[in-house]
Amino acid sequence: MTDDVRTVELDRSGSVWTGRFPGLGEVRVDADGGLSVRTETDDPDAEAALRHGWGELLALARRGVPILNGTAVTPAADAPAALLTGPSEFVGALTAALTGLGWTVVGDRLSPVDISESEIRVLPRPTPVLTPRSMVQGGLSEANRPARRDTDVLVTGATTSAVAHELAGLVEVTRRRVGEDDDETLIGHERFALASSLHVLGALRPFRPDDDHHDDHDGDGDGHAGSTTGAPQLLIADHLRLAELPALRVRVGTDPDDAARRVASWFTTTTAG
Amino acid sequence: MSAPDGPPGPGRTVWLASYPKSGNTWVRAIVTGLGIHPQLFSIDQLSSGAQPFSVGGALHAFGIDARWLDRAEIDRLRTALVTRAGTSGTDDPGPPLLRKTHEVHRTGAPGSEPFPLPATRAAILIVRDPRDVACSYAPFFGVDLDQAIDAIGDERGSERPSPARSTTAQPWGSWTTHARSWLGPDVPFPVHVIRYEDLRTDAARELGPVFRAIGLECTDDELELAVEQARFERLREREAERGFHEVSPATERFFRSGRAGGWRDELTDDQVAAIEADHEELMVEFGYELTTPPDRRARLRAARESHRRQRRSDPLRLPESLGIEVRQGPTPESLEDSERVRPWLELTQDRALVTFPGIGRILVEQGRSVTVTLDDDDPAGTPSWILQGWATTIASMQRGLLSLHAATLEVDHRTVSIAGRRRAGKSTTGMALRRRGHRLLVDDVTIIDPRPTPPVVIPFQRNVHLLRDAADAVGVDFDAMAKLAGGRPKAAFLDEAPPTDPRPLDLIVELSPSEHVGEVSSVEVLGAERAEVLRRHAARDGLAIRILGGPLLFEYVTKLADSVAVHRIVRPAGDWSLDEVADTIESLVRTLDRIEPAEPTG
Repeated sequence: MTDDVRTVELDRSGSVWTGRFPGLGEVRVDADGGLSVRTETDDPDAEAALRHGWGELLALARRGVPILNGTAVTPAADAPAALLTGPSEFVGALTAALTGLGWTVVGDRLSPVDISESEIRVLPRPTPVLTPRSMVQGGLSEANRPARRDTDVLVTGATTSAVAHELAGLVEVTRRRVGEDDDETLIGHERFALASSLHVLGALRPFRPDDDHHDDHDGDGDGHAGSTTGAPQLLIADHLRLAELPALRVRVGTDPDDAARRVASWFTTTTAG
Repeated sequence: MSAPDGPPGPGRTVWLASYPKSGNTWVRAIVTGLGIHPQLFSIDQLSSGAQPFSVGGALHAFGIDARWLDRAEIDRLRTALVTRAGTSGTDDPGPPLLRKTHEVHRTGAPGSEPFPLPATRAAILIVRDPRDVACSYAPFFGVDLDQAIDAIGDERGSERPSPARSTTAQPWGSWTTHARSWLGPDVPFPVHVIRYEDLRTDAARELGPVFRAIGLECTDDELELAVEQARFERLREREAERGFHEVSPATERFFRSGRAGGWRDELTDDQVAAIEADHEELMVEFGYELTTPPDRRARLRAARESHRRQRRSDPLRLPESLGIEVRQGPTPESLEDSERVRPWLELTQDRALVTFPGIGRILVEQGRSVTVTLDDDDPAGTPSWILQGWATTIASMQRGLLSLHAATLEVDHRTVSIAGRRRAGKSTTGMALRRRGHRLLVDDVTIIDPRPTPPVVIPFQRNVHLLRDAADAVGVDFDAMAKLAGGRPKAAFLDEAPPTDPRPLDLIVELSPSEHVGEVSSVEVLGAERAEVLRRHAARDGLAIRILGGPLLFEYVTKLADSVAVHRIVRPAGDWSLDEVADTIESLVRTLDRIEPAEPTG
């Protein structure tokens, strides 16, 4: 590596947060969460990539909004939402299958939330819904087009919800392995383990005025540290609130549609109760 | 193994490199055991399980949803993440950060280095006997042993970058190319090599010096304890109790026996021979004893290399360099206004319909388009010959080119075509010359553009069709090669792709079998006989005169005769020597004076 090669940079130490991805462009988030982007490539989709894939997430964090790692989906406009979490390819497959059943996406892969004492609400994140190319049968259509020039990700025509929804269930999506059952309801420590893994921290930890602005390296590059609310004990409180939600572990095999039907059935039963 | 030369790199990362199923996880279990109380040790705590190809950590590190990046950006993001984690930012680089990888080492473009030096201190390369690797690979990936052997012999084993999965490319290479890559001169940091079998004998003794070299501080007692708690029996017990997240979807357990030498009970002789043929050189370097005779390894190696090339190519495609589009689809039963030249061949001015009983039909149009209809979508054997032979010949003629029934090679920088009737020994002689280090340019269908002066050959990659005795004669294992579809008793050998730039033709050799016993002899063919020899081998079952037309064929043949030397090699009946024929061709090339191009005539 030559000395003059610049690498990806993020600076959230000042009131204005800036990020730069060499060859792609820059994002800038003002103190009020205002976002501006500047591209460094002639790729017409570069601005969308910077905006939806980086800047808007930083802007949410800058405004102090916690973000959960998962895709929020809802079966109806006035219904509560479920959060699908797990490897993006399996979550993407299940999301595509659920939208095929008429469900709507509230937040694709990353879901901003408002956690209060009374309920947890998923805030709408009206970005395009992405799906792996492998999940789309047949040729491309106007509804499904590549997100970038050289990628295996498609922007789908799936509609997204414009309103907040109560979060009423967690779904951990995993790959089905040999000899495993399809699904299992999570209880006890497994449910808490799932709940405690949902917050996206590190660079997307919500800003608080009393932030010490220290980066959260712990040496392995995953950035685990900090708190959505600035204090570890309050983060644990958030985890407990999430752990109160019913949770299902669904294993996706070769038929995501079948998994989607099981999730829909479980969620309908759960929320009806 | 010996300690590497050179100072450690400036970073924290120590790459724990290995081909899959070579003991990487076991060594990580030992490393993890150094820092965790034995009673708390769990296999789910294994350090550094996250491989560098995953860039999912970008969300935490930079707040980036990597799905929005393109493939080149994913590579740059990997470098940024590895650098961020592997650099301490102070003069003291701190303790090592071990990171597992199964990838080959490669340098990468500036800013996209997969293993960036600023973040790297050293690498530990774990090497395991490939025969045992195959036995472990098969159940882990849910394939049979033959598939596993093929996989670890395939140097192109790789995964493409995938923004959808937040992963960069993961080139594994073959067992040989993987290890070679880490031992190459372009690796800018020390690489400590450990044999798995030596670890099984005494892990603490092997690992102690390496750990000290990379700055992983531990006492001998601590290391002994860590090795003890990472014993395979314990790892298996823990996996049985609580599972292990690195298990593949194809199997119920990650940890098998971990035995060294178990291949002796699991592999057949043929399977052992295949592995030893694929990896002979490096196995010897690492001290693995080979059990297959050298001659058998050599024959298998050539055939297996050919088979790998064929698996990577589509038998129903032609090389792009030919500019002939091939598609599968319906073809007509017959052509309107056509001449039925043979019961199975119909021609019009610019179309040809060829029927291959029991295989299917091809429709060749205007020299640029071929439509293939197969009777069976999955025929036994490769149907490539109907395209590489017939379609290419007909399309070339439709474009005004000659198709000489000849194998063509580059011999000492000269282009030499070996023509002859069926069973004359063209392919066998070509393969014999190839075995001597000459480059095979094309077999059986030598496309010649006679319009330039001198005329040029247009090489392309295609199979060489060999009968069993011919394969035996040229030292290629017949049984290990793909067979031709249609019940033809030949195997298909695919060489490396030749250079496709047109090149002047320097010499044509006609192989002429004789009924008499004697020695191999050669004679230059001159005058009208030369044109007649060329006409005979360019006729292609009467296709040339019908597609090109008599006057044009005559013009081409005479021009070729004017431009290229032609020699006839008479090989005697009986026990003739392939080496003698090859010697004769090499001798002809050495004495060759290219005939100067004739002056253009009025």
